[in-house]
Amino acid sequence: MELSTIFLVLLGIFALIVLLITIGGWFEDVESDMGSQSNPNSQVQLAPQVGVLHRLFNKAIAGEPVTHGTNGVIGATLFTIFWWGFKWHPALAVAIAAALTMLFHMTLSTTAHVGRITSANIFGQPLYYDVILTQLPLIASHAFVLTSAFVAVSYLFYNLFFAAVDAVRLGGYLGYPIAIPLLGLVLGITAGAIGSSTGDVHYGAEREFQHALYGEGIPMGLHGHITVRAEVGYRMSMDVAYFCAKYGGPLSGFTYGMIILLDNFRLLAGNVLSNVVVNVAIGIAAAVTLILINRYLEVWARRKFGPYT
Amino acid sequence: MIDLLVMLIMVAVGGVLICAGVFFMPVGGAPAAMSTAAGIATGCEMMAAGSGITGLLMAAALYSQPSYIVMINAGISSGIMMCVTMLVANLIVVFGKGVPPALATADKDPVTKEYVRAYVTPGTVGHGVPTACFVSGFIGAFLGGVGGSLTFIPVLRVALSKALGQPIDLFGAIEGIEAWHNYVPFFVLAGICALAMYFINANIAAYSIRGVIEGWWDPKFKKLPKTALACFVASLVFSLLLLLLFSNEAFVKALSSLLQLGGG
Repeated sequence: MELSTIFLVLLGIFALIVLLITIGGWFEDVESDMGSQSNPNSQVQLAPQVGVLHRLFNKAIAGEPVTHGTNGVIGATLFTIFWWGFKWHPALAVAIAAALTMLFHMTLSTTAHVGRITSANIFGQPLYYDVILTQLPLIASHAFVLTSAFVAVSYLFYNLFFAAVDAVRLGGYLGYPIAIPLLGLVLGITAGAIGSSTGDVHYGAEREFQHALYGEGIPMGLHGHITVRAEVGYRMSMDVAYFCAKYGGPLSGFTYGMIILLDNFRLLAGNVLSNVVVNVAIGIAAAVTLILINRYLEVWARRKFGPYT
Repeated sequence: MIDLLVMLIMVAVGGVLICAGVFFMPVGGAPAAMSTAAGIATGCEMMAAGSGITGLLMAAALYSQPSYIVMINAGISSGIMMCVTMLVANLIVVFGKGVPPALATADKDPVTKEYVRAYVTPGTVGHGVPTACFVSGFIGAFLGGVGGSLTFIPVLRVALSKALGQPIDLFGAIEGIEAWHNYVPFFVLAGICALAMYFINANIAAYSIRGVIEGWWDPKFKKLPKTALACFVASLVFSLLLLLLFSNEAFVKALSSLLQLGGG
């Protein structure tokens, strides 16, 4: 096979990895918004204490990174057993491993939600049976998608490192020599860190306080007074997901995909040109560009919105 | 023996760098998720681990390069992760909530020297990631990435040299070793040790930060020297455990038997 063909194969796998990571990051954020898992959960927990009763799902007993790291490591370990141990086809092994992880995640969500809500029972917060029944399948399906995405990427990264096409080692260009379970863990932790620092701002600052003025940060006096009424009837967590899946979720996925793209692109470029200086130069150029874009965005926002006084 | 002592010092210095990195990061915590405080809307440990992991993956991919190249590349990887995250967090704050990024612990932005107090919503302590926080975050993530690779590199190399029974330079390039399936446990060992270092040191730093810090101009930043000392001691204890592990004959025997497996 010609060297250019091998390079095209490499680029194809690279594109698949970035796509899978983007989808994984997107669903991770929507899943956490639906379960009010990350930082904004403090408001859901605080609401009954200030007299605001709600019908939101609250499964925040661990931070987002830890939960999805656990999901990733359970899924990736099961996958390794099925694929390496039982010699199943990888596609089948990914699906079965993600499905079993989903069962674990449903158990965690149910116990966490019941525990969280009953702890607020002293302030009059009821535990709604239908809230669990209607949200749980949605949470499970999102967990299935994100786990299968991260397990598939772990498999690709690991196998890419040891793969060879016509005696050309692909490991010299892409992939990591790290065991699949650990890759699942680290990809899950990173996804959680990104989801909670980007997408959850959309949920916490905008969707939870939709009755507050648009164009203002949320003053501390408003904390706990979350929006509990929806377009029709009382707000459920699926209404939150419906809203956040349009902006916060995709941007979280975009962030994760962008990070993997930039980071692996500079690894690939450095390895193809077999010069580490290229790695460093692309990295510094990317960082400076990002700082300048942020500066432009800041100036634009200040001109557009103006000062408060 | 010299290698083990050098590893001891490298891991301890790595802990101090991770601690300094956390102090530089604009950690906003839960209030930032509601646009009530400036910074990134997640805790210190998760931000340090999340950005550090990107650096660790890069360090694993470049394992055979000289140490300083691995460190710089791991730092830049962590920095890029942080920059992309902060930029998108700003996109959501600006277009999803309609507020301009502003910080509250200083009247003027320490980098651009602009007057920013007027843009802070009354009742909040800033929102979004302004330029000074952005630059501070990049520096913090870079330091964190370098600190993590300071654990990853010596642990991997000492484990390899013990298992192979031949000396491996802790600073230069590794030659003559091509990682195959049976080398993977060594990377896992080094990766888990580095991940543990992030959680240990970020947790200690989190006690001094107490939730929210904006950058190097924040009054809480003055606590850095004392916290760094605590991190140095904690990392030294951690690396002493590693030293005991590598001095254990049974463990070294188990490591070298891994290499006999062949794999595939």
